[in-house]
Amino acid sequence: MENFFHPIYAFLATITPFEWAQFDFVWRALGAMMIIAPLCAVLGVHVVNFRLAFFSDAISHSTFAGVALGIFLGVNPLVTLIGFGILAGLAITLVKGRSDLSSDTVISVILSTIMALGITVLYAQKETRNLEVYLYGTVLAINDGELLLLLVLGTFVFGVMGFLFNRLLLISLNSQLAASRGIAVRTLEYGFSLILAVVVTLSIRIIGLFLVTAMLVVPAATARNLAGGMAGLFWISLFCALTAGMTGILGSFYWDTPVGATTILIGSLFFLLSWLKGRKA
Amino acid sequence: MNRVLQSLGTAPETAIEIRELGVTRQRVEILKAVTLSIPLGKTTAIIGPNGAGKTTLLLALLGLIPYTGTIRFHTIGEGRPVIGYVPQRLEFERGLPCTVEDLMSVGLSQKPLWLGKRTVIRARVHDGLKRVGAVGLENRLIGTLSGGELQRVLLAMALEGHPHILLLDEPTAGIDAPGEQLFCDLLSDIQEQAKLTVILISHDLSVVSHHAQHVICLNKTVCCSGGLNTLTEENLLKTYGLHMQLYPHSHGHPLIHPTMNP
Repeated sequence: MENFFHPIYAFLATITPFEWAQFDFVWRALGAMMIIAPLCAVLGVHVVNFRLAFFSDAISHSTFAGVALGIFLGVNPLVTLIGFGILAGLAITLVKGRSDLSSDTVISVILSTIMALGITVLYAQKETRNLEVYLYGTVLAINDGELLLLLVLGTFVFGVMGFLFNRLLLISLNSQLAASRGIAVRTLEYGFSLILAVVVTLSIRIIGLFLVTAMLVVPAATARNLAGGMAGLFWISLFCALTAGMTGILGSFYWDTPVGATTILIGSLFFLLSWLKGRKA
Repeated sequence: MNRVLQSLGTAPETAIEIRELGVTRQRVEILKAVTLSIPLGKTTAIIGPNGAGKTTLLLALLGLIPYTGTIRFHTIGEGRPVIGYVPQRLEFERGLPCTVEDLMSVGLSQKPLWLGKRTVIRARVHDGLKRVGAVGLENRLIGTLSGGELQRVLLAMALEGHPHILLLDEPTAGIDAPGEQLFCDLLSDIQEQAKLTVILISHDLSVVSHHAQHVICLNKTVCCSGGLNTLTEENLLKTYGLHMQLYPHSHGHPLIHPTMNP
């Protein structure tokens, strides 16, 4: 794998006249961000339409318990993290469908339960340094194998989301209208939740579990302030996520700040500007 | 049990025949022993109080919820007819930057909106809006449309598939009086041109008495059905559980009001 990617990084280093360009890990980080940022932007458009911000927050924060359990049991926390993310998504969807309680109540109950479980497990051990990797994200420590996995999964999810874009929009506007036009509403809603859970867990490695939801919501919210149509909404969201992600990585190099937080701060700055512009118009 | 049967050679003037339809959701019986027929090529109004199961009946007709009993369509020879559904409203925040053209394209094309719209699709959207007298709304955001404008756009979407049957859920709920008249006239024109069977749910008995030829009073089950002369005080009492009357209106249109005497 090293042999495959290294010449690419070496070539990029020769054509980029900056100090950071000679480090392979920076290129890997930029590559990972170029996959994750567009994915988050694309899903974020629908997360905002369906009002799923709290739901994705619940998924990302639930993975905390997965990480704690992974460290405790001595297995790779990445595996338990993905497991807990999907578990939380399924549990919320299942309980919501069989209860008269509002969705934010159901989400809150399940999220608190899983968080409490995580804290309890974590309390039983002294060593917590590993945990910070997941709380804050470590895109600079990503390896070539993970980058390749991201590339394959990312391309696949991006394709699926392109295929589903119009249908998901119609479902969010009126699910009965969508169903009357032959759209499999239930299947697509579950499918979208599953894809969201997967993308959220993948992004945790890059952005950190505290801030994943921001990567979904902030670019889409910025685009809502600026766009004059659905195509604009998509492209502005994508542009904001990508720009914030790239400058986040390079900025963190110069300013010695964490990548995830820097990315989100730049994204939030975009949002602030878009909000001011939207208010004037 | 979900059963959709087709024409078996019954009277040609019936579009839909419903027998012993029952719907129970989350252990609550919403519709019970509903037996009725919808005349072909006419406007049928379904009236009844809130929670009477009117929308549930529409959903059963659309095949979106499980039911017991049978629904038979006689509109076409084979299979399920094309049903155009005009929902009561859309659910979105005002900030959603979705234009009328975006909304209508979603129903016409699988190609994601962010890859642009083909000229053919734009032309079809334009034609669709022309049909409902809404040309010029293409680039308006759906959040800025009036109730009447949105209703016309939704009608244009429903007509796009050349439906045999048109279902409208409270079409005049969010529209002011002139807009309501405009919408109902438009609906009558379209119905006559395309020989459509129209089913509309309405709270507004004056809309019903102006624009429907057939009425079904629903409250969990069918309380009465027939021509406009079915709207008697006695039948309305049976449906709504309180006194409703048709009053002569100043412009000569009858109006219906609840009266307080028991």
